[in-house]
Amino acid sequence: MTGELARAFDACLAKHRGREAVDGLTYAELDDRSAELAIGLTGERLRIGIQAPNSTEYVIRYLAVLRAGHVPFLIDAALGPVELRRIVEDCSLDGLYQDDMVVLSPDGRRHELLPDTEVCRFSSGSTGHPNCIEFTGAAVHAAARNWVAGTRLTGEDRIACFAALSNGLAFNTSLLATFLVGGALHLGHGLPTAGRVARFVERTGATRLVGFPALYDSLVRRESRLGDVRIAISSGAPLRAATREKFREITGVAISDYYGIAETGPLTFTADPGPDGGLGGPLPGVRLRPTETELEVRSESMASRYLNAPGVLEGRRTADGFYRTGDEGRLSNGELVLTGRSGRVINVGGRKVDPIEVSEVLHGIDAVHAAAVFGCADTHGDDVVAAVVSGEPGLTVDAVLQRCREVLPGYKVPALIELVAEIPTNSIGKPSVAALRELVRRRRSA
Amino acid sequence: MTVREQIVKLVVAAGEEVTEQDLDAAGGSLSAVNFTSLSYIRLIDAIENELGVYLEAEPGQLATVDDIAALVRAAR
Repeated sequence: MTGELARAFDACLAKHRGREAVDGLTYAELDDRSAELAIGLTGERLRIGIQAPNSTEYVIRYLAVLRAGHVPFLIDAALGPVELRRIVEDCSLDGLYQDDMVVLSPDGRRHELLPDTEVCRFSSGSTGHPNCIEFTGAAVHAAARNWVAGTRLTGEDRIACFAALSNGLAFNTSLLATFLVGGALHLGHGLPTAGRVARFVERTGATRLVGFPALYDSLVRRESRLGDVRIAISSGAPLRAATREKFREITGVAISDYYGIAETGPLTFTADPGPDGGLGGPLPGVRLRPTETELEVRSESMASRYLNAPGVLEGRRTADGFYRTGDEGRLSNGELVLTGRSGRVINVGGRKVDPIEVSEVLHGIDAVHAAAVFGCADTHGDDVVAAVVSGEPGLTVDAVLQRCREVLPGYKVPALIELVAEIPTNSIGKPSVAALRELVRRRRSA
Repeated sequence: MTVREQIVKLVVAAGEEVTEQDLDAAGGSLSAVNFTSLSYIRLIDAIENELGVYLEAEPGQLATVDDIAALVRAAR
């Protein structure tokens, strides 16, 4: 039996048949191709992973899985075999789309899905491994509908999306949202360099651009102009003030830097951020509640729970259904201003890294006695993963790096590694992040 | 200055605490000097700005200084 999401897509495919849907494919063609693929996906409520770069084929497969009544699990294409294997086992996947479909044979179900779960995505987690987030079809549908209403997306829009479809930035702003209004989606992939993005925008006639801050940093470095783009959307990592200002100066377009969280969907938007930036006011269906300790939020697109970490998401919910973000913020004239990020997740160009996961890999190296992993700005001002490690005499940075590269995707491999005799700790014996950052800073300036 | 020498300078500038000596010792391998995806984006921007060629390449095609120099020569 298909769910709300499949029915929502069906309605879009029927309503906009002659219009362009994805990279030259019309809604009618997308309907035919996904329906044809769905016929071959026999079984009952299978769990099917999709791990691939952005492409038209990705969208066809996603729709086919939904239309066949199965549950798609959208997995970051950058994850390596070790992390992928863990997800496959943890989530008991029945099949996996990479280049082709691989049929898997899980040994039972490690965790049962909720009856109304229609899509699963992953967050970097706070448990040492990626958390599998369960969403109802109603939540995903609401995220798209509210994004359309809150950002005034129309059928005349052509979206150039350089974020991966497995990521909330693309998933919530560009997939169902575009289809609801009959717009055209153009999927970029590969390194989002200014040259590539500018040529893509020119070729597709894009009116909206979606990407992480690194994309905008690049466009500013190259002083690239962007044709017909009227709205530029960024999220996932803090946007530099200098990038925001320079981008507007070069293109005449302000970057709309919205606030969203994997577990809640998009939360704010403004098409006209002030000179100091600003994350905008709440999107339809969103409530923001700053407290003395952190920002609490509630949306119509909240996740249900983590499939593979029972109780963890529930523990971040207040009694009245708000999600405790771990970020600090306030409202100024109805617009959200973030004042601090209290979470310890490291943000590498929009990709989140759980330091516990990296730390576990380091502690798994025989010659390592202790390790501390934290975020640190590199000499270019970008946040990177840093590690301070103590171990046996003869332990080398190369040996540490080699092991990390064997088991972690590139963006999780520490860019800065310092070997020390002993990890600096605070008064209660925990690694002191302030002392660790100072240690890295001193060594780099030596 | 040769194309290769220009590339070496741009790699050093785009990386994090990379020296020409490090790069030389690593046989010109960018992964050996811990290039990240952000480093690659900075490098490609710099190549397009400084050398006036467009590179639509992925890190796998830009593994070494020699690989990059070959791509730049081919793009000219």
